[in-house]
Amino acid sequence: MEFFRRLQYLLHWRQRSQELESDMEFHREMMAQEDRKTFGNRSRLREAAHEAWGWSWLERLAQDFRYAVRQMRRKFGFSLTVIVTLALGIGANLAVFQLLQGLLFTQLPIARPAELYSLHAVKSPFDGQWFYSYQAYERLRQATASQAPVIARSGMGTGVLQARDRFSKETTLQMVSDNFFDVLGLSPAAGRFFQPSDDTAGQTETPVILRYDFAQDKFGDVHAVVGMKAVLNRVPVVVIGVAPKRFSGVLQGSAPDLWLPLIAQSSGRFLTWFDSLGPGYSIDLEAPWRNQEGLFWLWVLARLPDADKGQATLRSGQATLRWTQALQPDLRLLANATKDANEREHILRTQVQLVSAASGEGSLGAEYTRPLTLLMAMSAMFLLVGCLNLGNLQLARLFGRQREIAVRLALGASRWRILRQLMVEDLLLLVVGGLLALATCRIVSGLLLHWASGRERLIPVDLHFGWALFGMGMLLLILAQLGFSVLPAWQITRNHPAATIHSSRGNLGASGKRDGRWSSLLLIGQVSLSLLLLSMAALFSQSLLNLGALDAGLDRQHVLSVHLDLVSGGLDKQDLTSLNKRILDHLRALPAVRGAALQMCRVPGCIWNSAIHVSGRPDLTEAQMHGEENHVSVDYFRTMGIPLLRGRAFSETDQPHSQHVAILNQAFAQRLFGKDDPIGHFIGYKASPDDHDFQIVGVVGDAHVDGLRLPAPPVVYLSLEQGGNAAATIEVSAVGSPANIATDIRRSLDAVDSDLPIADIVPLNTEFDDGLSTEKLLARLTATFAGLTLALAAIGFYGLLSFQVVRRTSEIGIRIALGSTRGQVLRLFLRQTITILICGILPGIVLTLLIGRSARTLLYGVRETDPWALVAAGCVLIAGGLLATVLPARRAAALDPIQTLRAE
Amino acid sequence: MTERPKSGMPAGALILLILRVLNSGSSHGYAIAQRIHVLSREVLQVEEGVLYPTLQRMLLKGLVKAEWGISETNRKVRFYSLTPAGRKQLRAELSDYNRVNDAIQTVLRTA
Repeated sequence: MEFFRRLQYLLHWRQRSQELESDMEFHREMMAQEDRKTFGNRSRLREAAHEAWGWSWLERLAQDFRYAVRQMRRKFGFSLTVIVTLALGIGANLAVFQLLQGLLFTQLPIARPAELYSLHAVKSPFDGQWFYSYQAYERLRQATASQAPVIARSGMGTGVLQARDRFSKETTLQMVSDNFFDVLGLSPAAGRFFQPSDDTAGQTETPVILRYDFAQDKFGDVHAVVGMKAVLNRVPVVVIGVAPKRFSGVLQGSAPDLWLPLIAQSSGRFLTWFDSLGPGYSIDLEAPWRNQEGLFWLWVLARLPDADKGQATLRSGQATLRWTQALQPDLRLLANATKDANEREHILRTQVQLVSAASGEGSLGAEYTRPLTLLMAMSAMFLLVGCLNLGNLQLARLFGRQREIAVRLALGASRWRILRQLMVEDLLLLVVGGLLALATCRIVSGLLLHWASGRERLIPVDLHFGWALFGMGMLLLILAQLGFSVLPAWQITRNHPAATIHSSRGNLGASGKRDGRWSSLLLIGQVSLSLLLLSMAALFSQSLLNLGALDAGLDRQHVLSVHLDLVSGGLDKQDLTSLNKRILDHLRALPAVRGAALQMCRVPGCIWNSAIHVSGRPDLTEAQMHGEENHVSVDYFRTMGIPLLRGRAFSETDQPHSQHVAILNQAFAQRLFGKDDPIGHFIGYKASPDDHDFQIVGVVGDAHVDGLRLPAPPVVYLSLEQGGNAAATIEVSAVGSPANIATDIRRSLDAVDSDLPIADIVPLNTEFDDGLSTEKLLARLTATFAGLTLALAAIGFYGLLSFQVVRRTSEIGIRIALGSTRGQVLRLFLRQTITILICGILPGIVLTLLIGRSARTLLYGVRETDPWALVAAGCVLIAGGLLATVLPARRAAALDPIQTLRAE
Repeated sequence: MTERPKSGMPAGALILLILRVLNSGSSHGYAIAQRIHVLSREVLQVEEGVLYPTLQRMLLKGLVKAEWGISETNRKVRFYSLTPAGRKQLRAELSDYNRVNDAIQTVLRTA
């Protein structure tokens, strides 16, 4: 009760004060009437009465606060610097932290994620993935049916979804086993999950489950979407459920828009990543994959209940044993397909390994660990520089107020009261800066994600505001407060008031010098870190430039890629051949088109790995025989700008019934034939006697078809006319900029067939650039940090020098009066700046070499020891420092000695 | 004791006196001080530096309430009066005080 009355007093402060005032006024009036004297200070009396309300601490705080606002307005420049530094520094740190947390330290949003494991046995022969065939999965699942449920998932596929009169191109999909969601312990946001009957053949509609965000973005209501019928890659589907909100699959960095049961693969309309024993093992990609033991396309995970408890080792040991036993037929199959005897032994002895999948499968986290850790370090340094700078400005500012503080101390204010006052002033800045930091964090993390992701899809990262992030923010704020507020205030209130009051600004004596040294030390630290950030920025920019100027072995400036989705189109082979011909004829007729060709791969990033046997060469090792395989049309090499080195390119005479031909790139030719001429030799998919299917007719140059950062791989090109899968990409070479002809190409393709499933039309260079997102992220972010740090260092120099000019005014006046020239005065200050710069740059170089070493794998064509980056960074820093010095120093040199001395 | 016990008077005692004065009718701050002064035969003097904080505390505790009224000098002023809680408090404090006073008197007489 009493508390509420107290609160009432707080809320009606003004009214209650007036009432009290009136009471006391009346009292005094009456006393005066009766001619009695009153004693005591009126405001003191009022305060005593107010104290009864129990809010005096708040009142005093409000007083400090009002004072702080006044100070803030008076020192607008300082306040702005503090707020901007904190907002950017803490905001950037939080953003990088959020990304780091989302990518590296987040567990899957499933029940007891620690119980989830990936099963690793033998890597697939060509692509080196932990793939299993469907039959192997069935065996694994049955082996531990009761103790450790086993689930399977395919790779990611794409599809065109037609629902409610709307087309969604490039929908991502994944096929999963019927027990997938149940074993993960999820419950549907709407509808239901798969059950065994969903994974059987002969259903009129294939059941699908949607990702929550996808369902919400595309169709609005997740409940209304259940039961919706749609067409996916020309297969009728029905939505049976929606996954829970935060769940986006078990593969890091990818979020399937919809999930299908494994049986959906049998339709042949959903192509996902696969590997096989090789073309020689009667693998039929068009037949249902689930019946083929030699086709590997599933990743397998298992839940080991109570994996984190005591019995776990025993139980997981038993389970592993059973799985290994169940896999024996598959191990034998793989071993028999292996040439190397040692390798065969190794495969037969393989034991199933358990790898924790608590934070999802895949290598995305590992891929980003290094760049993100580096960025975290960079942003931390940026914040550190910012705080050093603020600490310095704060010291200078407090020196300006030293006399005021001394007077207040002398009048009886306690040191604690002064400290509190100073801290409240900064607290206000801190709160404003902190709030802005949150806003900055939101913007920056979105921006970072855009920079880190490719052009098409954002990396799915859970960027929610959690306790960890909040805690991190608070921690940074407290550290910042300590660094830039508490320590300088502590330092400044340590001086004895009498000493301060007596000393005028000219002769501060020993204490002044000591504090000046503090400022210089802080500046040296700033310079070192600035040099580090600047040279890192230079190194990353140089890497990016190197990659941009890299000769990729093909003409990436003039080529436009049109990605088709003919796999899901459901055309048979003959239709495809004639369709291909019509497409090329139409495109070649366009005026600005220099050449057009088709290929099975997607460049960059062809993942069609294969092995080639050379007729009469049983001595070749598997490592020599592995390479990439691409099927291309006539005119491909000319269109792509890949030079023909020997022999001939594919021509119209290469028909399905004529001799099948192959063209090697130089890397492959060298690996298989050394210095010999490969032309005329026969190659094939299988060992002798089936090793002469193709005759080599030419050799072409190497190209970076896997991406700019990766070396040019060995490639065998085969004729699209004579085999291979449906073409995935049309490459068009333009006379001018490829972007200009995009609309012409689309119109022309529409004329061929308006139903052509065009997924994307994009310049080849853009696609190559997409592969550089990490490099771009690093270059952009370090450049931003470096720019800001440089600005902070300049502000630091400017602040320090301005402050010194004020303090040393009379000294300078005397110097000038005694005959010192203005140049000498200027040099006085410049000498100091140069000393600080040199003292800062030297440790900065050491720091750069150390940190650059750990970042070496992120650089391209440049090393951290490269002197020019350091020199460039040093020059920029020196220029910035000197510029920031000259401005205040000139003011000092322009002082009128008479005026100065008179002011004393 | 006869000199100036103004600040020597314990706060608890002042609350009791104020409660007692207000029990015979509402009155404004100055009148409370005056009545205590007069009724104590000018021994007790309540200064405003003590009176008003105490009144504020009593308001907060809900022992008294204040209402605007017109003083004998025709001025708008707040009159304090007892709340039921205040009346109860007065009874409790009085019996308390009497008990303690009796005890002290007994000790003084017999020791």
